[in-house]
Amino acid sequence: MSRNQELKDALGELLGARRDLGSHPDPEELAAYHDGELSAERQRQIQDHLVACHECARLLLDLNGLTDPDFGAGVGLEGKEAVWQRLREETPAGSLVVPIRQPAPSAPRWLQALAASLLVATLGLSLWVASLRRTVRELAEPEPNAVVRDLNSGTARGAGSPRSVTTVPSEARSFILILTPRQQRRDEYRVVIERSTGGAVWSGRLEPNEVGSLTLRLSRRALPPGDYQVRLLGEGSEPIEKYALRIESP
Amino acid sequence: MADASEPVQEIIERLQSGPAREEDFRRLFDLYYSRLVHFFSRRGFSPQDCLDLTQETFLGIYKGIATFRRDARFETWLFKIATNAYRKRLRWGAAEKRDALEVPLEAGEETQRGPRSDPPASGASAGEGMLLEERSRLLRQAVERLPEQMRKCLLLRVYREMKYREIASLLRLSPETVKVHLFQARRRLREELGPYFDDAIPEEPTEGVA
Repeated sequence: MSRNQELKDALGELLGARRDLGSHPDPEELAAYHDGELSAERQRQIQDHLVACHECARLLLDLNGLTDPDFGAGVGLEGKEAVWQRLREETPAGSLVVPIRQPAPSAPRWLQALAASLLVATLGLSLWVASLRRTVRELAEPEPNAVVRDLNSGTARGAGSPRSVTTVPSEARSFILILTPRQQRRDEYRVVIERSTGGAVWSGRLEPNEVGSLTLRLSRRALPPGDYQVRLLGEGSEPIEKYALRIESP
Repeated sequence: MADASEPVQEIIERLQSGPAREEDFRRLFDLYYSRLVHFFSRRGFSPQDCLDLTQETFLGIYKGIATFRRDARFETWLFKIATNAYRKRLRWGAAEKRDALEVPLEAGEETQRGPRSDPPASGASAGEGMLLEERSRLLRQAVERLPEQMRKCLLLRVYREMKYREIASLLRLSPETVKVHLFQARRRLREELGPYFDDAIPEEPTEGVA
């Protein structure tokens, strides 16, 4: 008997006497033992099993082997391409390119709410800006059939109440008002458009053209249907003339 | 061939992030094919069974790659799939041979190097047999009195003939600790059993710790 054999036999007998393998741990538990993720008690039980069970001990040691690029280097190469081809045939599309999607990680609720709010705000702002642009474009574009109304065509009178009303039809998208002051010509005038019920809706300073008339282009958007009063004022806001204007309802 | 320097996590990330590309799966296949075949051959399967099990394991990877958590270690996941595959194969084989006598996996080993059940050599006298039996009993008792970890180290080293790093890995100890345990185990046995047992407790064979 070799020097070591007697000790080996004694250990074997000891192991045989104590052998109570129980069931083999499942792979998840073995991996958890390997990674130190088990409770102390369960870890001790698995360790006892590993000492007694050669199969599980070798299995666990091979877990380390799988991390080693040299583990089995060159083994089974003769069957490698056949396995690869069989793998491709086993997949539904016959190749390993079937889409595999990982569920996208969901963002926190507050982040989702913020993103939704920003989206709504951006959409609203975009619509508003688009509307403004359309208005500007409409105003900038010449309108061949734009309604032109001369407020002085017998309708204006001195600083008193308007005698008759200049009417703008409902279909007019924009219209042009012409004012020709009858008094001494000034370099600049101030025009104020007020609702008949009170409250200015537009005011601005205008210079007369070469024939002494003032041209004012307005959009129907700026003046909703209703009755208005157009007041022509001098540079010092002194009243010069007053006109009545009606925007018809559609 | 796969680029061995490319971290496997990057390959998995690409496989998970969009339509799985065959070339990325091929990289994974190249990286782990031989390791898996070797893993199964060490379980005692025939060469053809090893290839079948390797294919089965890669199919498991393919089907489950979307659910693999990237913070986990890929090889641990691979180990679980491979072990489940081979245990399933064992159960399947056992079911096929259910009429045959079932033999525990360890049985073969027992008969090879397990407890010695043979009678003493024919030349040995009855007195020598009793002496040997007595020595064995004393030795067993002394081993049983060793601290648990020390006893486990001795058992795996002498009976299982494992290397330091293998024992360390199994018992979750450092190789240095294993070496110290073994040194102390042998010293304690010699102290307890006296010079009469010196020849039964040889010095630890030289082996690098790494």
